[in-house]
Amino acid sequence: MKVLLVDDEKRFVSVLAKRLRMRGIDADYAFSGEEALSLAADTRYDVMALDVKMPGIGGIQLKAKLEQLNPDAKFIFVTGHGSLEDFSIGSPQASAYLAKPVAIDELIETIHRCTGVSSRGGEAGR
Amino acid sequence: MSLSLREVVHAVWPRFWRASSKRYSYLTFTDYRPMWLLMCGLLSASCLLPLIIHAITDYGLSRKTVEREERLRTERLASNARRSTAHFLQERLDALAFTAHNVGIEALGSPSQMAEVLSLLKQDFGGFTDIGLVDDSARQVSYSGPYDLIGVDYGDQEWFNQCRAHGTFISEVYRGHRDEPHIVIAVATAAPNGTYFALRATLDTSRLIGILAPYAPADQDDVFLMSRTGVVQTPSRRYGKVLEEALLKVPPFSDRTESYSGVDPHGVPVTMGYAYLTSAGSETPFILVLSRPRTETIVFLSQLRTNRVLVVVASSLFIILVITVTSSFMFNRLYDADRVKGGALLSMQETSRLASLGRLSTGVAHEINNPLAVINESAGYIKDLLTMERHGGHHDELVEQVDAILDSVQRCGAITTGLLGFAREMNLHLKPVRLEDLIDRVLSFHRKEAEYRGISVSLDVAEDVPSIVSDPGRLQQIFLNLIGNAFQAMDTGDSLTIKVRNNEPDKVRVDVSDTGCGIPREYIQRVFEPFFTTKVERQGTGLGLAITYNLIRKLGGEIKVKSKVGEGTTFTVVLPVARGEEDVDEGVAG
Repeated sequence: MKVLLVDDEKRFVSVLAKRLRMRGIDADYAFSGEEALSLAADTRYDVMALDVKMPGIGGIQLKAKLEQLNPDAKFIFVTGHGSLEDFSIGSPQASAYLAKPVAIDELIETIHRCTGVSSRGGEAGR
Repeated sequence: MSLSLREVVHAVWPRFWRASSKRYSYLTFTDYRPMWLLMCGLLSASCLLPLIIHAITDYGLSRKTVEREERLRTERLASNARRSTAHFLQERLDALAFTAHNVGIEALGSPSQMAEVLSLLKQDFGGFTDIGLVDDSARQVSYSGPYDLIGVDYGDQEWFNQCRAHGTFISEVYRGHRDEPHIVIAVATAAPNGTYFALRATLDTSRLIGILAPYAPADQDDVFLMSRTGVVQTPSRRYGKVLEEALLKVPPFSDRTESYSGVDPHGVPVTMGYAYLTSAGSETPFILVLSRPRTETIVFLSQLRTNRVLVVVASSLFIILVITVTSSFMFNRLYDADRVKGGALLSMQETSRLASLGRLSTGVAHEINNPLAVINESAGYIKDLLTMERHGGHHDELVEQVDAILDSVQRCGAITTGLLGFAREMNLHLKPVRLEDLIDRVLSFHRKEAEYRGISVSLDVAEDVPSIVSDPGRLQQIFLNLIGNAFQAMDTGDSLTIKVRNNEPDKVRVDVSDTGCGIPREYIQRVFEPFFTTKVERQGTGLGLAITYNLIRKLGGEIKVKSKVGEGTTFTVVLPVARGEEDVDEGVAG
C-alpha cells in the first residue's frame, strides 16, 4: 500500500513518513502541491493525506488535481485549524478529516478504513 | 413658584451643549450644537423680524399723525390770529375811507370838525391816536391829536406816494416824531375839484397787542408780528425786542398760512405757524408769527416709543423662550435617541471584541497546532526508536528529534506569549505606543493567511514618526478590524499597504490601502453606520467599522475612507501624538 503525505510543515511530514514506514506503510511525502503532483504523476498512491492550508495550491484544490492523476485514490485532510469552516468544506470531499496534532494510530486506522483493510489484522503493531 | 431656576435652565438649554464636548462625543455621530443654533436663529429671526418691522412702521405712522395734527392745530391758530389782525386793520382803513367820503374835504379842513371826527373814531372803533388831512402837495392841512402837526410836509415820505398809487397805506410800526411805537394808516380820495387828498391816522399798537394775546395762552407760546424785513413789530416773548431785528429769519413768502416743525434759535423744539398779512387783497408789511413749543408732543412720542419698545422686547423674549424651549425639547429627543443608539453600539463593541478574540483564537490554534504536530511526531518517533528498534545506532537521530521538540516548544511559547500580550492590552490605559510594532504584531496574525492566499503585505513607516501616547488595546482592535476588512476584500494577487507618516505636527497618519474589490459609491457614506453591512453571505455584523469609528473618535483621532470599485480601498486614520488625560474615561462595560 502506498501513501502520500503533503504538508508545508517539513519536519512534521518527514518524520510522520518515517514512522509510517516503521509500521510497514510505504509513505512518500511532499512539501507543496506542485511537488505532490509531480510524485503522483509517476506513482500510483492508494491514500493521500493533504494539509488543507498550504501556500500556493491549497489542499482542496490539490485534491481535485490529484484525483485526475489517481482516480482510485482515497483522500484524508489534515489541518491545524480544526475549525468548523474547514470541516464543513473538507469532510464531504474526503474520506476523512483529521486535526493536528494527529495520533499515529488514528492515522493508520483511518488509512486502513479508507482502503478497506482492518487495522487489527495489519502487520503494523503498536 | 414651584419652578426652580435650575429647572428653567434645564428646559431652555439643550442637554447636549456641554455633554457633547467631551465624554459622550463618541456616542453620537452628529454634533447637534450648530443645528440647534441655526434652528433657534432662523425661527427667532423669522418671528422677530416682522414684529420689529411692524413696531417701527407703526411708531413712524403714529408719529407722523401726531405731528401733522400738531401742525394743523398751530396752522389753524395762526390763521385765526391772522384773520383777527387783518380784520382790525381793515376795519380802521374802512372807517377812514368812510369818513373821507362822507365828511368830505371841506369839513375835514376845519380843526373843530377834525376833533369831532377823531373823538367819534375813538369812541366807535378805538385804537386811533390822531388824525390828519394831507393835501395834494403833501402838506398836512388839518390835524387833531395830542401833537401840533399842522403844516408838516410829508413830501419826502414814501407813504404819501404809495397811498396815492394804491389808495390805501399801512406802515410798519415805528417811533417817528412821537417816540412811541405806532402804525400809520392812510386812505387816498379824490376831492370834488379833482385834486387828491389823503386822510392819515395813527394807530396805537396796544389794541393790536391785545388782539394777538389770546392766541398765545401758555407761557411758552409766542405770537407776534414781524415786518417783512425781519424787525419785531409787537412784543415777542422769545424772539427779540420791539423794533429790533428778530431772532428768527424771515420765512419764505406764501399767500396762505403755513406751519412747520423745527428747532428755534434757543434750541427749543417748536411748531411754527406764520402768515403774510394782507388787507382787502393788498399787502401789509406784517408777517404774523406763532410759535408753540413741542414739549407735550415730544413727551407723548417718547412715551409711545418706550411703550412700543417694551412691548417688542417683552414679546421677543417670550417668542425666543418658546422657540428655544421647543428646539431644545426636539433636539434633546434626537440627542437621546442618538445616545441610546450609541449605548447599544457600545455593548455591541464588547460583543465584537469577544468575536474578534474568537477569530484570533482560531488563528492562534492553527499556529500552535503546527508545532504541536511536529512535537507529536518527533516524540512519537523517539518512542518508536526506543521501543521498536534496538538501542545505540540511532544516537544522532535521537538528538535531532529532541532538538525538533525543543524548537517547536519554543515556537508554541512565542505564540502564547504574544497572545497573552494581546489579551492584556484589552484593558484601557494610555501609554507610549510605537505604531510600527503594534501594526506589525496585528499583521503577524494575518501573515500565514496572506501567504496561503498569495497576498503581499507591506508596512512602510517613515523614520520621523514618533511614538504616540494612546491606548494600545484600542489601537490593536482598530487595526485588527481595518486589516481584517482589507483581507476580506482581497483576492489572490492583491496587495495590502500600510503607510505611517508624520505629515502634520502632533498628528500621525496611517493609510491602510488594499487593492481589493472596493466599496460602491452609494455605500461609502454609510460604511461607518452601525449595522450597515454588505456581507450578507459572510454573516457580517455591520459593527466592525462603526466600532472602529467610535474607538478612533474616543482616542481623539479621525478616520476617512476613499474607495473605487475594482481598484481598492484606503482607510486613513489620523491620530494625535499626545492624548489629554481628561478624556481617559470609564472603560466600557466591566
